Amino acid sequence: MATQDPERAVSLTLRRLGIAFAILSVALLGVLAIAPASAHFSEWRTVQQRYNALARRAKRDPIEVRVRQLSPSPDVVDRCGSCHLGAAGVAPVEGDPLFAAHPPIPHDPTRFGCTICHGGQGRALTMRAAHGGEPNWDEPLFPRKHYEAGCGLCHSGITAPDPDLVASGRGLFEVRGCSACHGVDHRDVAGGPDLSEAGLRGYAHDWHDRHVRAAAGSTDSRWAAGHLPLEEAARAAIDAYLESRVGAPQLMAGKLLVARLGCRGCHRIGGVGGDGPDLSDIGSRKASDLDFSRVRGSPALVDWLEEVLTDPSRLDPRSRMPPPRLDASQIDPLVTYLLSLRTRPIPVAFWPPDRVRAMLLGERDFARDGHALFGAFCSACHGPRGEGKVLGGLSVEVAPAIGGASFLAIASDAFLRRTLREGRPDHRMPPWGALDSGLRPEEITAIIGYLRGLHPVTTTFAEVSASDLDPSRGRSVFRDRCAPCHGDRGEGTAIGPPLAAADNAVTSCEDAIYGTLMNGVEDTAMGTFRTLDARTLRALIDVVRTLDRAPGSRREWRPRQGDPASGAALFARHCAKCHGARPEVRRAPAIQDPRFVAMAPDAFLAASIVRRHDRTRDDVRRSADEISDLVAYLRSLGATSEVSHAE
Amino acid sequence: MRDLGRALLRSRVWRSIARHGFPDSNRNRSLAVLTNFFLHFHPVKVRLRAIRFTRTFYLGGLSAACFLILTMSGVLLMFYYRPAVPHAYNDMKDFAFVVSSGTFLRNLHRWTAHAMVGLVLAHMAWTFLRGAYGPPREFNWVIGIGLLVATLLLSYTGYLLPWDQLAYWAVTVGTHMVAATPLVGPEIELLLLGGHSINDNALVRFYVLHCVVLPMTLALGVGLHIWRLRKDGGLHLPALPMGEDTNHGQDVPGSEEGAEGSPTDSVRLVIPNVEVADGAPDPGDEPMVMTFPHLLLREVVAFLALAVLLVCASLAFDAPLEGIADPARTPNPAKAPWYFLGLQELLRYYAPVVAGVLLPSLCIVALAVVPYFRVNIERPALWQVAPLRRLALLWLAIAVLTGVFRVGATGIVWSIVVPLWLVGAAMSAGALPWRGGRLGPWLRTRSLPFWIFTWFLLSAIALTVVGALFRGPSWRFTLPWRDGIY
Repeated sequence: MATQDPERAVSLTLRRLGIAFAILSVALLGVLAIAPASAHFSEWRTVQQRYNALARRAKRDPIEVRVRQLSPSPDVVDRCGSCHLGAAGVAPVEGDPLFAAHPPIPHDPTRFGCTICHGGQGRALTMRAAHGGEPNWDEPLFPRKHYEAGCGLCHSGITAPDPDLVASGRGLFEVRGCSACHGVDHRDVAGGPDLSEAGLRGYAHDWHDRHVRAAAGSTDSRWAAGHLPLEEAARAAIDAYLESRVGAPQLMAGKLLVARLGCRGCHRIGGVGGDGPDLSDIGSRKASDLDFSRVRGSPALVDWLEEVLTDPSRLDPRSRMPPPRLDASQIDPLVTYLLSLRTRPIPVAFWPPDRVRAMLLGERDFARDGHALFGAFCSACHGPRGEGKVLGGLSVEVAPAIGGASFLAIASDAFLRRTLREGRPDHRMPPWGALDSGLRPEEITAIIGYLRGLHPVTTTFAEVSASDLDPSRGRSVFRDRCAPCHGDRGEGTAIGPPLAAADNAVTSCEDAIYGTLMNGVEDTAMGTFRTLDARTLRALIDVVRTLDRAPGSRREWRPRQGDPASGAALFARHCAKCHGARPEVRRAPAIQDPRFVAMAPDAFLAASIVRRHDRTRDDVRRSADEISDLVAYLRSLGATSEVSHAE
Repeated sequence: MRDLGRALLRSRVWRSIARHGFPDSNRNRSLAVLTNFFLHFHPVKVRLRAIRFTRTFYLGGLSAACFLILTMSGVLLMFYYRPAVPHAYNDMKDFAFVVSSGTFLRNLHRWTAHAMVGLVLAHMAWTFLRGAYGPPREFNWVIGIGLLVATLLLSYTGYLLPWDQLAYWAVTVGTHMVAATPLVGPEIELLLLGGHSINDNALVRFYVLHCVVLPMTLALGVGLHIWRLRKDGGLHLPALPMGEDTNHGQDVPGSEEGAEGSPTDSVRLVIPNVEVADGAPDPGDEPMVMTFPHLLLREVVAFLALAVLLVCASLAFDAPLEGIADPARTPNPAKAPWYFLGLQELLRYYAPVVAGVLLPSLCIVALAVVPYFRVNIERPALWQVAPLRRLALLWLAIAVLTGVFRVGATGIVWSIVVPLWLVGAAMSAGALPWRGGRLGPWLRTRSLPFWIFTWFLLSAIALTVVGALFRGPSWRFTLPWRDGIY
């Protein structure tokens, strides 16, 4: 500047600034115009212009190009119709599936909108965003093959009947010719009414009698194929099948599979189920929260669920979920059902009756008979009929065979109820009470009833009375089965009461003895003896009925203050061999366990020492003091543990 | 055509609107500036040196330009936005999908807000480094600090309005820092949020603060700021070194702070039609140009360039929008807006009351009082007297400061300590008898406040960069090129 004429330099700068001003003004106007202009080339406008082109070719009236939206409630705006013109009520035009009419649905779209069933982002106007492709949108569109999941979002309260009954009903529906006239699952059959939604809309429950009457007065050959009348069990199965036809066969298939596989033995759904991962909201798990590193396919919830259902240990090696071993056709229904599990709030105005019944009136979405309940909640671990099962996983655990006759013979109803209600600490059996896993008392009773029903009374009292009497057989059975608790001559012990008719109200009457043998006595060690045949029972009842009152019946062991120190020495000499503290050499119950001692009363301990060791009985009889010492010793074990607990 | 234009300009209607003729003569140009409400902040004539781009980079003016763009785009956004849950988030979606140019408007508002925070910070830093806060401009500097705080609050209150996860948790981080204030923290939080959690009430409060209270405060403050600038003699300029300005006044020791506008200049300034000459010791030597068109054209070109840049950025990059705010789902990490990430990074080391309250308030107070403590700003220069003794003192102070920042911290705060050592090293380099071309003398002539401010600036940048780029889940150290930016 110093070398130039300052005046010229200034004017030169001014000219350059003027040019910059001109260029930048035009540039600003140009870039400002881009945003408003690009709106005219948006996706939905292109789609509607394509419709108009097709409409003109088909000699139809073109439509006005505008956003078409439904707003069923103030918070919901669904603009899907801007591209899905067919669904928006515009006259269908050939040439693009977007312009085809929506298949018939029971719901009025203007009242419900689109996304409430289909998912996706209703406000969006680009395909990627609308179908849920944006990372910030948590509810993507349900894939085509899982679209029935949308039904389950609202219709979450539909009861799935007993799956075994449904399966047999499905077979009968075909075999007995029902499907000749009636369509199910939206299959079109001429003749009888369509039953695709019989479970949802209801049906005449006297259908059987009506059909029998109609068949009698008709000459139509199709009636002959019906094989009417049907037996009671077949009618119940077909009823269950009809109940399960709710217009969403795949969703219902998934729900039935969950009940049949016993998923809820571990997984809680809607507050009912085991203590594994809760599935109530599995359908709204966000893809961003899931680990897709081991998932084949796209990073979407659907693929993640498919991977879990194929092999859970692939996703998480620590998973305790046993491989479900499903065939390919079972995975899709399960995924559909799981996708429908969402806790998204739905305005009460939209609630269908089944949801109202489930959410407000406490109706269950599972069948509540014992068989169905056992199948839904117990069978995954204990086997379909309580056979017991080895549970896989890193630590092998065994679910007991609670359906076995020997277990049920000694397990009282009260014991079963308590175990069901409170579970087994340190075991995988969770508490199933209403506060923990959601089963109501009457449902627990139904499960116990089912278990009891597994081994029904097979020998009637009449059969017993009619069979031959074999006294020697009776005596040997009494010695084996009754004497351990009731004493050799039925004099009674600390465990079992005396049996002589003079001492016992029951034993004076033969059918009462029979009843006690068949059903056991609640809350005592008296189990059931249903496996005995009629002749044995007859002989046993005879032995019991003819017992004389034994001298010194219910020999009382009189409690006496024992000496724990000498008891300890006795224990070491006589008992530790089998009841020892070291578990690896222990052959008999761990009676030194303070928890056991704390539970057992002195009389029980003493009686056990006497009764369970009949070979040493003479010695014991000679040393009643020693029993007191042993009891005192065991008691002291319980006492130390209490002290240690207190510390 | 030209005659028709002239005739129009001479018509009664035109003269009733603009009271001057076509601005082709200096008289009309002066009148154009003086009689125009929007232009009368300007003097009629300005010194050529003051309007050079590299003098100020127009940082203050561009900050104001950002405020203008923000006001315009913000008003447009207000036509659609409802400050209520869940409408707020739904309206964001409507901006994205149905509002004409809605995405663009939102982007423009967002990016301009970020640009404004950056420009205001840069404006402050540059003003300080050029020493333009000295008398009589001390209080204008304090006003400027207030405007900086207002800008940060404006940006912060706007952060909540989209009501998405990003907004919700960024604001949560901020309010938790406020709540850590001793004694009054919970009350301030209650006042700010209208409750004990961020909900509808907080949204309405933030909305009112963002759209009414803070913009009006800022507009008033900006008016005051510019008005005082004019009253204090226009731009601060170093004195002309004896008739030549090729050195930009920088190489001459002590010249920078030597010549403040005297009060008499201000008096002269407010009288119209008097030759304007402020700041320079001899007005006659200083080259002056007419504001119209020299300054106005520069301003307009700078504004246009900024606008084009911001519009292009808004077309190219979409403002982030995450899922709807969900108090039950905490993202990891939950990060504050970038200009608060330095504070959040401090939270890694210090208790909230130190990192969120004590240190930021100390910084603001220190910045505000800086002009009133004119340590070593006048001669003699820092190392002129007893350089060895002062050097020892310097490193003693650095050692003490290093220790102070370790007190109560969970580790060594490298982002603060390393800049401290660097600044110390640079100062020592100036103190040593070393003649390194132009750098040596330059280092030697820096004042103590310059060094302290440099340290503050470097620390703030280091903390913000570490917090923004190098922190991942649970605020653990991550490498952005390996793990990505969280």
